[in-house]
Amino acid sequence: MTDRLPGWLLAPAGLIDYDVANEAMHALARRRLAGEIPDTVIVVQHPPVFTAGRRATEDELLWDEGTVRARGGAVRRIDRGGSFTFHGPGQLVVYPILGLGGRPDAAAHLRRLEEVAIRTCADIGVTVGRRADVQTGVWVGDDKICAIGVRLLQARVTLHGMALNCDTDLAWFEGIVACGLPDHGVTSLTRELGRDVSVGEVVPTAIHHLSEVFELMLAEAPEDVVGPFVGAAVA
Amino acid sequence: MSSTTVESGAAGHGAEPRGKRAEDGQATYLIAVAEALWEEMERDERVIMLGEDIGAYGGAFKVTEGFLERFGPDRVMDTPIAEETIVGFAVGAAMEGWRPIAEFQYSDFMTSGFDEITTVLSRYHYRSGVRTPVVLRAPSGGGVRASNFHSVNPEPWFAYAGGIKIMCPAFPSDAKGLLKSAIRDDNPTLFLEHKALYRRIKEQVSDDPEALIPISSAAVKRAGDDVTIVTYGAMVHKALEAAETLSGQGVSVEVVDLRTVYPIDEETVLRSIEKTSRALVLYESFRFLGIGSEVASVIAEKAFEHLDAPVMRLAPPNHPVPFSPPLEDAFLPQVADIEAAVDRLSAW
Amino acid sequence: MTSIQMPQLGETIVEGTILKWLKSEGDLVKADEPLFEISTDKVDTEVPSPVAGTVTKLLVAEGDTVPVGTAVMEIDDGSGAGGNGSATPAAPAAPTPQTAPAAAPPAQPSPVPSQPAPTPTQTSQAAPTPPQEPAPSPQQASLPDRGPRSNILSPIVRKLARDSGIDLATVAGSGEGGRITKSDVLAAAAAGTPPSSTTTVTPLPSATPAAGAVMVAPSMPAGEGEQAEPMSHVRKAIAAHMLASTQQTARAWTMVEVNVEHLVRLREDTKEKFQANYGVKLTYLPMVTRATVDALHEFPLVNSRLDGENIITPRFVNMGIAVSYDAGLIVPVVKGVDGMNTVGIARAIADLAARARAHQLQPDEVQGATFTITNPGPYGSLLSVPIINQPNAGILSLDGIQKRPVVVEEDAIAVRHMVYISMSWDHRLIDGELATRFLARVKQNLERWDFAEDLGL
Repeated sequence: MTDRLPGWLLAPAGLIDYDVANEAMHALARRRLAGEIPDTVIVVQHPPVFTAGRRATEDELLWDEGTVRARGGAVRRIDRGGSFTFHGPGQLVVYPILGLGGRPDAAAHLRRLEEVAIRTCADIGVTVGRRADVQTGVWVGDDKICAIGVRLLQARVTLHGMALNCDTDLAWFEGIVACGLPDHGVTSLTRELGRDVSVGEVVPTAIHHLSEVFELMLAEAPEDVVGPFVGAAVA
Repeated sequence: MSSTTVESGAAGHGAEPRGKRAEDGQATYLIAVAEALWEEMERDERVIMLGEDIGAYGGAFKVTEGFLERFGPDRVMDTPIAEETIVGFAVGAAMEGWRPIAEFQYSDFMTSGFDEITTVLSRYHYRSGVRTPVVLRAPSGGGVRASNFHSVNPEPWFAYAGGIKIMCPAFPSDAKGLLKSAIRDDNPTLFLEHKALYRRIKEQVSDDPEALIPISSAAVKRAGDDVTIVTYGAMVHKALEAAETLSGQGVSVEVVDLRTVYPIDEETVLRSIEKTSRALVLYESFRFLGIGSEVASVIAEKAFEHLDAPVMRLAPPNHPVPFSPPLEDAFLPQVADIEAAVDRLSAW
Repeated sequence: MTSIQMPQLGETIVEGTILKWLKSEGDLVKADEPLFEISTDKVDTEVPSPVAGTVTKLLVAEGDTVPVGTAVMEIDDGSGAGGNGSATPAAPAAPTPQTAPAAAPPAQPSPVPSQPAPTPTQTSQAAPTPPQEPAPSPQQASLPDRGPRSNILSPIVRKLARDSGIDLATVAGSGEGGRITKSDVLAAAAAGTPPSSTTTVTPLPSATPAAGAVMVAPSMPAGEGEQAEPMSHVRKAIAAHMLASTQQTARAWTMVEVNVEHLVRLREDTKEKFQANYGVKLTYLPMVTRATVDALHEFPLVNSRLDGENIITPRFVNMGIAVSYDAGLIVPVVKGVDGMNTVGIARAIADLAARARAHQLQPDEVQGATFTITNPGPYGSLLSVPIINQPNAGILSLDGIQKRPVVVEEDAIAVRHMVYISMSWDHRLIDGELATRFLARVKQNLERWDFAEDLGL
């Protein structure tokens, strides 16, 4: 690929607190908007958290907040589109912070995220696909294996991204109407393959496909950028 | 009709244009034009001239001063103010074997004879197989505070006719060599003399009556590596001035003088673009449909792979030439505008 | 007066909903300040203002869904009556010809100083306006970094990159907005950024031999009982490359002996399951590659190359893997190998080798290696002295694994699977101590790592 641009990769180990990651993501997006930094991809796992997008309604949170906290989770309302989803250990979360230029094609960006998930799952051995008739995201039949939700900063830079269930504890999803779709379920690579597929196994493949699909040459981000994440690892 | 060649510089005639050169032998653009006309009139007695005030008055700009005395009223004819008739007469004479040179006092008045030029002269050979070696010549262009009746660049109108070769030289030596080629060419030709250059440009001009410049040959007037300016007429000199300033700023500009604007010497232009990869087409005819529109299209089409930036144009808007001096200056591309355009082009 | 429209955030997005006005009628706005938030079926965003001025009118209400392109707000920006065209997030702010210096990302190998910022000359303001020529790029926003226009590759840039084999990802853009210009590519080519073969027949990188260093052997044409045939293109390219490497590098060589007993056992235990799970054979090469990548990160100078008098050190590793095939030798490159685990590497190598043998490699798959590994072991060699794959600093050879009697703990003698791993290295860039430490690290990795986890079985 002679047209690839250099980009930064942040892949801190451990479970990264959601608020810290979200704030760092927004800060990096602002720097990307100002042209101070190149396209940056964050790859993380979070401790258990339900996040509600703009379209989420209260009745889509099936457990009350006390129950959620008792189980060790948290609830956050955030600025991406879409409804409720869950992030937690065993789930590979990717936040690509990319400059889309003066004529952003958000739909194309979503398709690219789906493509990354499709290729990654294929490498692991699970055939997945899009369901344009249902919702953005990547599916195995009627079950969603990878949730995708994006927001733009100033209509130029992408925020949030995708979350692929590797060996996520799917029981958490009973606490919400996932993605606002009561008639559809969720699944994971572990469930589909019948063996444990850890995030660690999937990460290198995912990074490889991120570089391919987004045409980036990813290199480790410098110390001062990684900083906010180091020490934010919960486990 | 047989042609007799008369030795140039017939003894004793003091009105000969060459006598009007400067002491160092340099000729102004106007004198160079006059020399070409004189030499060709002497060389071939089929060459005749007609126009308003060209005989007794010696021409509105004094180009043809002394011609009536030398060549007589049968070959240097004063006409009424009737451009259509001037062209029609020239066509008829050409059909009969003469080689007429028809002058328009200002190029602006050519449109009074538009139909004769475009429907008749331009197409006559195509229709009938009879050659019409007519040379139309006129002072053209603006920048001399002559306002919209006396400043037009008519070349796009007549390039559109399709059967007339059109020349717009920028230098005296080019003017002399090209006019001679035009007179000897069997096709209808239009020779536009930029009035702003008549007395402002001087250079060494050949004494050799056989020194011709080929029609449709462009010339690189300044070599450079970073940006090419393709231009013609008075704009060539502004481009050269801008290039000199820009070279002090580290931008090396190549200036290609088209010399003939129809048909264009594409090869010279494209070769320059292959070298520099950046093209600015600078022209005095209006931006929309002026000569530069065609040049820009050719570059984009044929030199695409060599371009490092879009092809840019710089030309006046499609608008009557203003009379008020600040307005006219704002209307025409100035050296500063050319520099700014080159800056934008090299920064792209 | 500027009319602000519902922006189009993608070709398939046809409408948007105003979620919230961030400015009210009468408010002052600056350029790029957010005006309102919208939600579409794909994505939400706030919409920045293309101009500075005063909000004069809000044309729709919060919660309204309108088609893309509908005017939703009017701003008085002092530009006089009559809207000056669509103002969406795609409309650029006033184009700035200046390229402000931006922090260059560390991955750029050779930064080129940007051209002096041109200043537009002021001309007289009277109408009719002088023929100013705005550059026609729609991407010309006021973002002052290499980002917005570094993807604009002009025809001549593409052509020169193609003809000279330059990888444009390694070229810094000095043009406006970070655009890679013709002079950037020419400078990169002149500076000797690693060239690679561009002919479709020869996928090998072909370095030009040192000027004037054509070795003339005595001519000995075919005689009685001999047969002559001309060298193939591939053969010629290999010959040129090998000769150039030998002549241009200060080649030295170091070797270590590695105890791979546990790797042999691991492979025996897992190779079937590996094949079943991943569809490729498990050989030692991926494990050695992984161990080498780690050592390259530890000793980045071994991953570097010389560019004139500069040492260029990438922060990534692209591993060239020598593959022999019917036409000779070819070195496909596993790009970004440092982001892969053993399984990923095994897959990548298998894929590249298969396609190499089928003559199906793309030109960019045989260029850009930062280090190379050759593996003649399976063919039976005990020890090899490979030739460096220019412009790398070193090439590692994985030779044959053999059972040998060795001295183990407490001076006992036992039979173990051992292998010689060696490296030819360029003494212009590296010295003996570094080369030895590097190999020692590879050895350590191979002897101490537990690859089982990395195989994910």
